[in-house]
Amino acid sequence: MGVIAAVVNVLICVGVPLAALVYLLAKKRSHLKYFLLGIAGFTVSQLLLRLPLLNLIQGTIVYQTLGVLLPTLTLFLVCLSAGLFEEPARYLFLRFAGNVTGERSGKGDNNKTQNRPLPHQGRKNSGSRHQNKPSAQQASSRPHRSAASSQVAGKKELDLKIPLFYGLGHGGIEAIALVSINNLFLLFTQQDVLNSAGGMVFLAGLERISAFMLHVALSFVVYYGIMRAKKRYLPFAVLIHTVFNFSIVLLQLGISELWYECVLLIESLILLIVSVRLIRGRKVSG
Amino acid sequence: MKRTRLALIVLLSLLLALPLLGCGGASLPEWANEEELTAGAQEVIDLVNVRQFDEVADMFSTGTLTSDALEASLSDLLDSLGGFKDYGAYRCDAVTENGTEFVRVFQVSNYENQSVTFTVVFDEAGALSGLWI
Repeated sequence: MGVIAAVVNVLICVGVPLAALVYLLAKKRSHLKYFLLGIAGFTVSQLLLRLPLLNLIQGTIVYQTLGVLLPTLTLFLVCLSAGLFEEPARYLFLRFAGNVTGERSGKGDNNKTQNRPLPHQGRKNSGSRHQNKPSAQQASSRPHRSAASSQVAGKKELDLKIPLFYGLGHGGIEAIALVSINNLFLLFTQQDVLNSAGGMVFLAGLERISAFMLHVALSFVVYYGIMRAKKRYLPFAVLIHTVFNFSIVLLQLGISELWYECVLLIESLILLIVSVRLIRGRKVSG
Repeated sequence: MKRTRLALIVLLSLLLALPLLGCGGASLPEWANEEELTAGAQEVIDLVNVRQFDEVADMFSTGTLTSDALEASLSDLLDSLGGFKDYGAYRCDAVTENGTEFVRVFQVSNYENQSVTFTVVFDEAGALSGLWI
């Protein structure tokens, strides 16, 4: 049973990102870079920065003492560190490496700009039947028109595939690094360990499904913040990430690992639904 | 927009409230004497430090853990820790598994290269039921 569960885990951990990669290569090459950026985001923020730092800190007297005397606080700080490393990385990789840019102002004044011609534009086209539809030549030849076009362009529809594939890249490399390598190692070297653990081995795969949904949801939130030029969505994503990870404290309450994984699954499902509603509910038509 | 914001606030509050329920630690059972159990944990750790795995294995209540298994899992780690220096902070709590109460002693131990926390578990009879670093 444990061996079958480990095989299923590997299929989930490798299959989901692999399926996304095949889809991108076959049908959506323009979005491949966001998938790769997701991989880079996790690699830099966790594998190269957070985990080595955490390893260093965990060997200190201060950390060990804090862990013994204030275990819940220590757990919270560890969870917070995950949010503090991964979410800014998500923002930076999407915003700068992915070149995702949104509106110039988040104050909600763009509708006025969109509906009302600039003074310069109005004068130029007065008397024309097409005063609100200048030619491409006109638009490119005047700085005022360029500025106006840029603001209107900021109202373009949000591309949900960008955060989707970033999240799958991020969650995919995390699943491969944290679960599939470990499960493959056990499959090839210690099958007796897997068999003694039985069906509980599958909980690791179940947790990865939750993690996939979490990373896609968080990518939606951060992407939305970038597109709407609202900085509060980044700390909001850090908070969500921290709270989600901190759910592990439920195990201290004595709930079983199975129920804990079910809670994570429900949490991530709700977060995914809410984040999709956040974006779809506020999608601005182009 | 307001409904979505409200839903997010409610969701986050629930998510925060759930984990915070776990902040209270379980109190020790009547049979547990914290000082004795801590001294017992330090005795186990002392044996581990001098690699007396036979004696540690004999202390286990189940008798299923062999000294070879202990040596295989702890030797490399002990090598990397360096020489033992002293003990640091400790804490005891209770845990129930399959209707049986156990007491866990978390003992910080300082070594030349780094500090680690031993988790030593005792049952009501005072026998060793678990050991983790």
